[in-house]
Amino acid sequence: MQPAGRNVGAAFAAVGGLVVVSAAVYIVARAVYVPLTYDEAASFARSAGAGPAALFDFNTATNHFLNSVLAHLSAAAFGSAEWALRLPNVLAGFAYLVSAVALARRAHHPAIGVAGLVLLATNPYLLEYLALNRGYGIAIALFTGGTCFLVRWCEPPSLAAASRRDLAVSLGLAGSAVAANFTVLPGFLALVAVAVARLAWTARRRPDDGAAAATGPGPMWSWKLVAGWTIATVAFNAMVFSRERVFDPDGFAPVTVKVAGLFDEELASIRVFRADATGRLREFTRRAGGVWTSGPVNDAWQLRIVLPAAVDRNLASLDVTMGAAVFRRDRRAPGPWLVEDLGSDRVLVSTEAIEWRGDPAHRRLVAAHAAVTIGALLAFGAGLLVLSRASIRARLAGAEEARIVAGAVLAVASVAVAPLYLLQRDGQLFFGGTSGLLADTFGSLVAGTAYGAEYHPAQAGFAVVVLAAAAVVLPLVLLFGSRARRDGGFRPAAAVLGVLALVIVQAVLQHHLFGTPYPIARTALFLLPLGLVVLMLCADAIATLGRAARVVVTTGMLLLAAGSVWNGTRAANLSRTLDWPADSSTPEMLRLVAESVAAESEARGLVRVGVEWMFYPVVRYYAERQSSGPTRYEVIVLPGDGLPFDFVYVPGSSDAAHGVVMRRFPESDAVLWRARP
Amino acid sequence: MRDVSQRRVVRVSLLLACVCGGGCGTPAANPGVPAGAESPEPAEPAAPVVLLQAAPPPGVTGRLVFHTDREGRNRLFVLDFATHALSRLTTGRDYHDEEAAWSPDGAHVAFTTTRFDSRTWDIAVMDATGKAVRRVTTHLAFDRHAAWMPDGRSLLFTSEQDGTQAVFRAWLDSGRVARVSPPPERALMPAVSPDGRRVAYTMGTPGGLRVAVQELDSGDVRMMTREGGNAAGPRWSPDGTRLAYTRLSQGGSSIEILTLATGTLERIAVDGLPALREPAWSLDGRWIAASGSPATGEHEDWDLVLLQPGPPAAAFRLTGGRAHDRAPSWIPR
Repeated sequence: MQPAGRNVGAAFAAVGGLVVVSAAVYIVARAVYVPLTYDEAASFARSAGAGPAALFDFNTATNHFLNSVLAHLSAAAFGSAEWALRLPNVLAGFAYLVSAVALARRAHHPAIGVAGLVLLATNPYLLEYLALNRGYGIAIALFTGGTCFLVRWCEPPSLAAASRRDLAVSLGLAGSAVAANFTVLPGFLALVAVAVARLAWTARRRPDDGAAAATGPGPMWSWKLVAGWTIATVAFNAMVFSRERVFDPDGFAPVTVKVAGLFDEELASIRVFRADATGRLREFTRRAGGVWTSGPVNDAWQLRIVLPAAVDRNLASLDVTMGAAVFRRDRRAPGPWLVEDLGSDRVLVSTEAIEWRGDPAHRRLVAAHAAVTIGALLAFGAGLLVLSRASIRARLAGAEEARIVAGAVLAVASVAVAPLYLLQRDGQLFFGGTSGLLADTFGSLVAGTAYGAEYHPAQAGFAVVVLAAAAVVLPLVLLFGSRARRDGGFRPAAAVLGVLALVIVQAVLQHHLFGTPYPIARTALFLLPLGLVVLMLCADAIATLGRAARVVVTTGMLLLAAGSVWNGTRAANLSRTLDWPADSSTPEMLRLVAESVAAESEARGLVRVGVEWMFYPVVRYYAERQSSGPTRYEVIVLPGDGLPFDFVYVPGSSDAAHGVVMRRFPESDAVLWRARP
Repeated sequence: MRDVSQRRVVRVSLLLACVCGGGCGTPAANPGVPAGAESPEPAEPAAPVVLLQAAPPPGVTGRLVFHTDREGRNRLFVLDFATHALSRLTTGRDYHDEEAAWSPDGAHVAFTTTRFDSRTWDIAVMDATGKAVRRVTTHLAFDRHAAWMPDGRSLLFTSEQDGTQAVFRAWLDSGRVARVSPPPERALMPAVSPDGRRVAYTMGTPGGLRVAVQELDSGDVRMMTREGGNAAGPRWSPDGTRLAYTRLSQGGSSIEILTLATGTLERIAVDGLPALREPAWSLDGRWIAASGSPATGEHEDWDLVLLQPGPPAAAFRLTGGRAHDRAPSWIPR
């Protein structure tokens, strides 16, 4: 299908090409040079870097499934360098820019198209996430691609087979965006709603083939498709639940550590900790004799026992009990423990010993949860089937369109329902605001666009007014813009505006019905390109009202584009991120540590670095990469396990002294201390 | 010796129970590593209350050697029941001497000391006057808890030279050292039976610290105390028919006496002295010297006490003050 009215001039090609190439180069450069950030490192440690099964671990919202899978593949192929982990997002960034060009080319007015492209390709907050190892960038790219194909589908002729493929691709991309990041789910549902509305709107012009297909003997979905869906859904949901830790807190908590064969004085020298995935240590409570118990353990990741080495040598047995599972360490079976000696002290570390997956009770819970979920999905699929057939009979939708829409919804539900259930139950869907849609969602996007620069809060209101004005003026195009109607300029704009409006309605409804927070910053990020596309398409449609309208909207769009270029140039950097500025100095900090250690007269086997929790994942990531030589770096979250540190890395606002200051890092507001000379 | 003027009411809890029939006294040998269950059932102390005597009764004779920090670092002192006098046996300034054991012939004293290397504990032997100190062990690992063989020619002791604590034997004439307790279990605090054929010691097991007896000839080991509790520091009665040891419990300890032939178990728990340790039989087997403290941890204050096994049982304070008096051992005549 050829876009309507595509007189793309040389100026458009030059400016558009320059903008796209610049954005692509900027994305690549940031992927290579910007230090890894907290969420990237934490996500890598938890999923992409922890084995294939961990990809299905939804204990925290940090796991953006599709991104984790792709990052895992990239890391397997190219190693764990920053650029390799970010490669899927970089490629998604290229795809996003292609989508932006395609959308801009759909504008009837080249100047508006160019302005729209510039707005889409120069927003620093958007570009930032296209060069990070997070699911947001991939989700943005996929959803923008879905939006692009929705626009194509909405353009005439809309009932052809090629047009139905546009619908399928649109929903497929938007559904995949949900797999990359669940924050896009409202966007997918809005897109589905708009597609259904448009199908219903155009029902009277639809040929009769759909009704025939629906009432005929053939099934709506082939048995191969159903079988494939069933196998994939069962496998995915079983994997997701198999990674779940706290089906039954009473069954697996507390974790009990029992030490035998020691005198009370020796037992008093033992400290037992558990670490969560963010590295924070929580000490077990010592009960009678040689027994320690934990609190709730849903976030437990590692067990850490600190004791004098002499005491460990005399220890007869160490039992870790969780539910019915017992992990024993004794003289004959050392068990899954990493043993590290620090002077006269010894540290026992184990991840496996605090792992109860594989326990029979756990297997039963996995099976029960998976069965209920599969049952619910089957019922949902049956409901969609009934609804689809009814729609086809009522000629509200063609058979092919109904199959596409219902299939996309069922596929997304199959991927999203189990993870969202777990995340909601564990209170992990917390990243959002409660100040209101304007302050949280629009305010955070404006703040992100400003990228650290001063901005007036009224700018968020201005953005809303502009979008609202576009929404109000757009119907005038339908009434008075005959050319726009002829060329279909109104329908794509209305469709995308409808998607945006429905997302906003969902956010408000969810907040009031379920108490969910308003999307904020990166969780609202996909609204940024969506809003810009709405702005561009509405401006393009409004420009068809007449010369005056065209001059006004074109001028406005060009001014906005110029401002966006200036803002993007101002904010451009290769050293930091807006959302995790504290991580910008970590590689430099560890380089200093390595130099300091290398300058010592005696070779050091283990270097202990104490860090505040907000630095932990990134310091650990770089420390592990730096540990390939004779010196190994162990990163411990403060206050630590009672053993001394060699270096301490804390925020500049920290009052406590840790020895001698080695370096202050103004950009990250952090201080490196030399704790031991 | 300082007189103890304060009289204290103590509760002496006794339990006389043979809870495992005749099997307790003649448990089956368990060569190698003992995983055995051949042990008495848990003892539940009764609660008869007796008055604590301020000083031992006139019939008590003999001398005790013990270590104390009353002059700073731990040194060895002798308490003479006949004269009630305390005399200094060692005079270390910058080292510790502890855990003395008099040789059966009364001519020598084996003890634990840091005098040869401040980084570690070694076994040494000196004459009965505290002179002619000779280093017996030289390994950098900790060596402690010396116990004489009846012939006075060799010593059993606890050493960490294999990593885990284990019982070793050192021959004084040749200097040869050999491991006695079977690996890999932790074994410590040895006590040689009067006939020299068996050694009792504390063994660290998954079932807790337990008292084990090993035949020195065959190496067979059998457990003497139950699983699930902690018992340590066994001492043979002079006739070799009973074992006294420390029963460790949450926040305290008591003394238990096991009659080997019958499995009879007697517990002596002194109210007011929740920590009671390191029993040592008198030469006639009528008395047990021990160290006791009214508290554990930061506020511990160890003094020597004299226990009279029952019935009726009794307890007498031997020393007082804020110094820690520990590890008494009777001196042969």
